[in-house]
Amino acid sequence: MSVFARLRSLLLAPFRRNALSHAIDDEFALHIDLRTDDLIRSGLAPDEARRRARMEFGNLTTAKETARAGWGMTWVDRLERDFRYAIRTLRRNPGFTAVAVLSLGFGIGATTTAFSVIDALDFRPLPFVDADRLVWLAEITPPNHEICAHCSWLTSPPTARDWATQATSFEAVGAMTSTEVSLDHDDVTESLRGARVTPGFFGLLGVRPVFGREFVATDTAHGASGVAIISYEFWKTRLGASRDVLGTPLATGGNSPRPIIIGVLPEHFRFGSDRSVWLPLTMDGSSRANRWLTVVARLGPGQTIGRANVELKTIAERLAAAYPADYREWDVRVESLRTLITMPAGKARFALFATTVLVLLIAVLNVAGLLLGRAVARRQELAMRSALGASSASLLHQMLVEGSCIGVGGGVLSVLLTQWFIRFVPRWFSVDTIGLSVDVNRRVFAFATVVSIVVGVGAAALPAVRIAAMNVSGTLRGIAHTGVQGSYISNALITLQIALGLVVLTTAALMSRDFLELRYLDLGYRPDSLYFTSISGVAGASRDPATWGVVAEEVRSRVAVVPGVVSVSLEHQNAMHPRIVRPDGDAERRDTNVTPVVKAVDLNYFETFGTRLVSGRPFVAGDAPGAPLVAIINKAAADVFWPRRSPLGRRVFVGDSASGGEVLTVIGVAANAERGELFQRHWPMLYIPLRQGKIYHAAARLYVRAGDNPAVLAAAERAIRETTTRKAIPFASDEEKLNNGLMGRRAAATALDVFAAFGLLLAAMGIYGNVNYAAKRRAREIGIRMALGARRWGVVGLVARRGVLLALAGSGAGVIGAIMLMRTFKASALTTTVATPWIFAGSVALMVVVVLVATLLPAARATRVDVVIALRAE
Amino acid sequence: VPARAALVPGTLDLLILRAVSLGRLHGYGVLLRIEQISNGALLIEQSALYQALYRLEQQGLLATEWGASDNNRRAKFYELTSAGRRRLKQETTSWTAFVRAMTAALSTGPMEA
Repeated sequence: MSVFARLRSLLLAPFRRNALSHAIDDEFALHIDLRTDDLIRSGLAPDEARRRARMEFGNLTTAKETARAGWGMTWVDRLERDFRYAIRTLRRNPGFTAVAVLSLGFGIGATTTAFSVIDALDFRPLPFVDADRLVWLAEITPPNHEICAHCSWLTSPPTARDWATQATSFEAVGAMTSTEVSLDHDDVTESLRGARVTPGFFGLLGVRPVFGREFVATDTAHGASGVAIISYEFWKTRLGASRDVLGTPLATGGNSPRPIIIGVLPEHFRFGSDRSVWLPLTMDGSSRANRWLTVVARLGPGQTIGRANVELKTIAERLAAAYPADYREWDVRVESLRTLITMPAGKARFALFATTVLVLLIAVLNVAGLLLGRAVARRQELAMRSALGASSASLLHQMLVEGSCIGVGGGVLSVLLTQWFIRFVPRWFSVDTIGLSVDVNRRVFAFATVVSIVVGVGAAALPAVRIAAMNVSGTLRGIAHTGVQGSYISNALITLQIALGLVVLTTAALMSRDFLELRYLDLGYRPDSLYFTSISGVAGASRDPATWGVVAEEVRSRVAVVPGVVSVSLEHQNAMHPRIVRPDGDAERRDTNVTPVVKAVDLNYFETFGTRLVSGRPFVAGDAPGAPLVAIINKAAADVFWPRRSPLGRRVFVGDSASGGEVLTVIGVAANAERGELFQRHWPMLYIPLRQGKIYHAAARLYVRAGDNPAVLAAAERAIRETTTRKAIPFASDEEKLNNGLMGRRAAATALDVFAAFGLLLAAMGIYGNVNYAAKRRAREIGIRMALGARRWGVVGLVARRGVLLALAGSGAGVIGAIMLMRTFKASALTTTVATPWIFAGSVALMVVVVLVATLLPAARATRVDVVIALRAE
Repeated sequence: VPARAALVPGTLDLLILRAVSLGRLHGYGVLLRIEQISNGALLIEQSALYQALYRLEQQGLLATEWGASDNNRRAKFYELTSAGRRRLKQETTSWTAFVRAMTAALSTGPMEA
């Protein structure tokens, strides 16, 4: 029989058990019958013959058991026996079992939770038709890009048009851009997230409106009436889930014509984030350097990303040759759509996973240490069993089965824990951006199962090997209890635990520190007690900029005198929508790849925000129409335009084309302000005085700095209502908005802290247990030393020295590990720029303390114990 | 009835291989055949016989087949495989050598005790 056939028969044995059992019955029955026949033939009476035949055969059941042993099917029975034995043993030691199962359960649960995030983002198919054929066509930023070098970036409309018309790899090409839509309802105006997409965009994804239709080419034609598609959730919660909404206008705020609702998207459809309103997008625009479109395409049948990539690069080279200034050092890449979707989550999920794996490892080491300690304590019993004929293989087997029982116990607990942990995941990672939910599916469950068994067996392997190598006769005679090998193993275990504990501790500490720094130390402005409201439509139906300016100023001055209001300021975003913002007289210089955001603000804007001016002066009343045009830029813009030179007094060109624009003089530089999204922190900004800017009706906001007294805000709202014909627009807290923006990072850092704290606790427990145990084992040695006249403090010092050495060895390894881990995740949330020696030092000190306490307590006790008792121990 | 000799450990396998080498047999047949070729001098425990049969089958030395017995009952027949044949030859050679050596050793010189 070949090895394979034998293996197969062995593996199939349990399933054939019944069949085989019947076969044996048949065979034995035949044997007895034939024997009976023979006996009858030799002259016995039938009854007597049968009796004799039976007697000769012996006990049928015993015979069957014996016969079966020849069949190699008893491994099932053996396993069953081992499991029963393991469960009995575990039940007898509830304390040990509880600690082991809890440690593993938490470790596996944390790892499984982190895995479930990776599963949702990286493994689960995207919820679109043939999602593997959907790709993201991205331009790649040049090496000198101010925001992010060599990153997948957005695209300009002319480039997108060229790709769509020239590439043959794609069945369809569409584009999208985010937008905000303000909406009137009842007595408030609110701002909703939305997007503009090209006609056919939903069809490209394989998504059809549940009713109504999607955008078609005529929707974007000149003179076409505005149309809108709404999300299912919006339709259900805001429009009463009525089918009559089709053909009715959407109550958008401001003065733009209201679009007609033409379709409702399917439930749970997400693209990018929770968007309520979708508007049509035209790919017009002529600037190739103004990149603001996300381009999505569907690969044609039989096409691959690789081939599409080659084709797109060919087109890009052609374009770069035709428009060298617009594409200098830019590249293109065809990415899977998944890349686009998982991008906002960053690498944080992998950092979290790595941390949880470390926590799990610590838990495994703890359980291994516990099992090892118990195995050594049980060595008399094990040696006895071994002497009575249990092979070392069967003892090993027995230990591994016990390990997997603990593992499975931990696994069951971990699934329960994961169910609970998972509820917090959506707060940590933007997994819902594409309609994905994190749950314990079959893959996650399989992961937990496999991990449970692997860690259980892994934890048992070390003590099992140790037991297999046991010197039976020595153990039975009561010697060989402090083997050199044993102390090597426990030293290695302790070192590893210290190292892992340190890695977890420092990683978590650095990550939260990273967050804290962002949150409180250097925002560039003060978000506390800062409130804002939209005043886009204060001038009613009037679309005249001058009228709006007058009303807005009226609102501002009325709110400013409300008691309790410290400071008020108007902000007008993207006041000019300029396509070109660059140093004047520097027309050839095109190596700045980002266009600063332009905001028109009033005089005390920086004061209201608490933003520091790095140099220059703030806007003053003299910066009025007719006076020289002035601008304040932020630090990021200064670094982009005039690196290492003072920007004060320099001139900046702002306009739509090389000829159609204005030249402003820079009078001040403001600190960079973090405005809720990490990305914006270093985004170049250019501020102009409200009175010198062109005013449109786009997003205008009134910022109020006031105490935390709601009555003040209510009074301010009343003042606005009295001034204008508008409905009341409640103030929102800027701090809350900022927190929402940072929520993901903050919660991820919290999660990491919680996991890490538990990991540290586990590590400390494990280290304490192992060190303490090792020290206890030296009680006999200490007893001998004391008997020979050693001084108590000399002995304690001896023990302490060893402990400190262990702690330092482990800490050294841990610090190296932590640095390596941080390097790996440098690009993600772990962008720790400041060296943090105090965190390392603190962690090392903590480890040394744990080790010293665990060593010295039993050592000190040992020196006090009567020598005779110490020597007699064990 | 002549006194039966207990089996030397390890010889049952060889006896079974020998018995089956003369033609395919069912379990009871193997027992009869061994009694026959050993002139009824060997005592064989039934359960040990079956254990050995299953073990040899497991080792690929015996092949099995279900068929009808002489009295038309369903019976499991054992047959030598080529591996079994090789093993039989090997074991026979080494057993013969062993017996010869033992005999020589025991018949040399005066017996004491």
